[in-house]
Amino acid sequence: MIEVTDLVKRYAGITAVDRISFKVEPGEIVGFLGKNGAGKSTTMKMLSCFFPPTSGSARVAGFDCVTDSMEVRRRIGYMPERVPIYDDMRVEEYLNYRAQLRGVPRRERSHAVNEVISTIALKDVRRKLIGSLSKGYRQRTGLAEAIIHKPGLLILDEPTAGLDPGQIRQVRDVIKDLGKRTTLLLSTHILSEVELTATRILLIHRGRIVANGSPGSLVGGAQKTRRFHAEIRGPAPMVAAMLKGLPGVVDISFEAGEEWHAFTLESDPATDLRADAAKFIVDNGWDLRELREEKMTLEDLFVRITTTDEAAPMVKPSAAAAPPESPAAEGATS
Amino acid sequence: MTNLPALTKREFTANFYSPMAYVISTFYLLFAGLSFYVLLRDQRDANAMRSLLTFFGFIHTIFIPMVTMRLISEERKSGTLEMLVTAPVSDTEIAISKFLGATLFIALMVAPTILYSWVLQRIGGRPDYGMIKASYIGLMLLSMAYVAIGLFISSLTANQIVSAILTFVVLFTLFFLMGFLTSAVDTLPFGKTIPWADVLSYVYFGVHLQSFGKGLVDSRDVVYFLSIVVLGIFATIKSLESRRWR
Repeated sequence: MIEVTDLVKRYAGITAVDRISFKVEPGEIVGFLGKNGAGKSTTMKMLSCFFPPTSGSARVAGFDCVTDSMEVRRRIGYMPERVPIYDDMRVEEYLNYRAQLRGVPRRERSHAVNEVISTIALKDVRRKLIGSLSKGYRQRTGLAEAIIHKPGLLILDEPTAGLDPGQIRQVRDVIKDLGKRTTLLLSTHILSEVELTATRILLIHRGRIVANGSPGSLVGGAQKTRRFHAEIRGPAPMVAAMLKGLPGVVDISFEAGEEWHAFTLESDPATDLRADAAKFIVDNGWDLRELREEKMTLEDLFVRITTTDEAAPMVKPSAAAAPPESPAAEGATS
Repeated sequence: MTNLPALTKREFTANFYSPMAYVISTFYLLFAGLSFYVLLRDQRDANAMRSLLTFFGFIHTIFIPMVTMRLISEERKSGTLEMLVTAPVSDTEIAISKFLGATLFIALMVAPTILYSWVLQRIGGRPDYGMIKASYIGLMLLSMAYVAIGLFISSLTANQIVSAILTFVVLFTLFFLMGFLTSAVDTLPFGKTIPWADVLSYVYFGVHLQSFGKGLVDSRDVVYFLSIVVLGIFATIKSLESRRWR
């Protein structure tokens, strides 16, 4: 659906997007992740034909974004970050106008408008001025506009930015629902959001793609060991020394407390220490009140990648290249 | 050009979404009515309408920038331009629809003044309808040229006030300063001439307005105004396209 090759965008002296390449297959929901200013919006603006790349190419549904811009524009729905829509129009009037621009035939227009109004749940505000809407409804109006012509590809730039938790949930549900029907590329810096909605993640940092894969595989790939957290009552140094002898334990450290001590155990990825460790501790007559695995979250990965100063990819390209096929299949079956 | 009707309709109606349109047209009609009244006190002949319409050419240099200032500046500022140019709509359609939307609004604003000729007839002024028709055609062509210039300037900035002031300055220069220079050509002492005087007088709006006032629709003048319109729209298209190479 999307094919980006060596895409570069330079503004006055700054390279906002630096030779990125990626593919998006039909049916995928791809989360575009990165800090503010990483190049997410710039890439999306090139895909939506707002401006052309400095070099490289972007193709949507086989059409080049520069030479066949009209064809590309007909096939996508795009919602920019600030949701720039006319404040002085009414919701229904605006949707009708945009449907006309999007080339929805006259006869189907009112049907198309009614359909998006019910899918996006805009019934209550259909006759309201857009300028008087709450941020959540405004965002939804933007979404409704983006899908009114049933595009094959939906590009959403920070669709939940600035919403309250309730509204975020609503918009996320709408997006998830839309993902069943179209290919979706959405950007965000709210990590829980991509974990919940995306089948694949593109992590972009300083204009480069530094990770590419399903949320699970990315986190798994970046993790060399499994970490467990345990709170034990007993002679801490001795406990540590003896736990180290358990099969599979790579490293152990502890933080002594007054009575209870916090231990961090690391094992090789193949071993789940929990059962063995619990038994071992209890058998030795010590007390155990907590034992859990500390899973690396997407957030940890995100922070780890984006806080390093080197632009070199943290996740090995080999790990990054493999996953794309499987999420595509998942996306198709769900 | 299939999107032109939809776009033009939006551009035209957008004028009425804000109170601006009502304020502008109210003041315009107030101003026009007052000028007509003053004019009638010492001139009730066939020439009254002609003088009035020439005077309108002047007040349009103030009113038209107020109409054209929002055309593109507003969309740039609010970001809606991004939505407009990423829709399957060509830059040419955008520029033309904005031009038409503003021109239609101005035509609507001027329309009530047609009643003045009826008033003139009622008070025994014996208006010359041919002359009046030609004058209106001239006034509209002049206004279209103004709109095209205003449209282009509006495409350069995201600030509506800057857009309005700059448009006013340009229109004022073209209408007055050049008029002053052209008339000064004849009065320079010692037979000196201003260089480029003939070019200057060709570019001057007033010269092209004169024959309309006499009841003549000269194709040269029509071409002159229409070429400014085409130039203005073309420059606007280029300015919209500039996002592609900036």
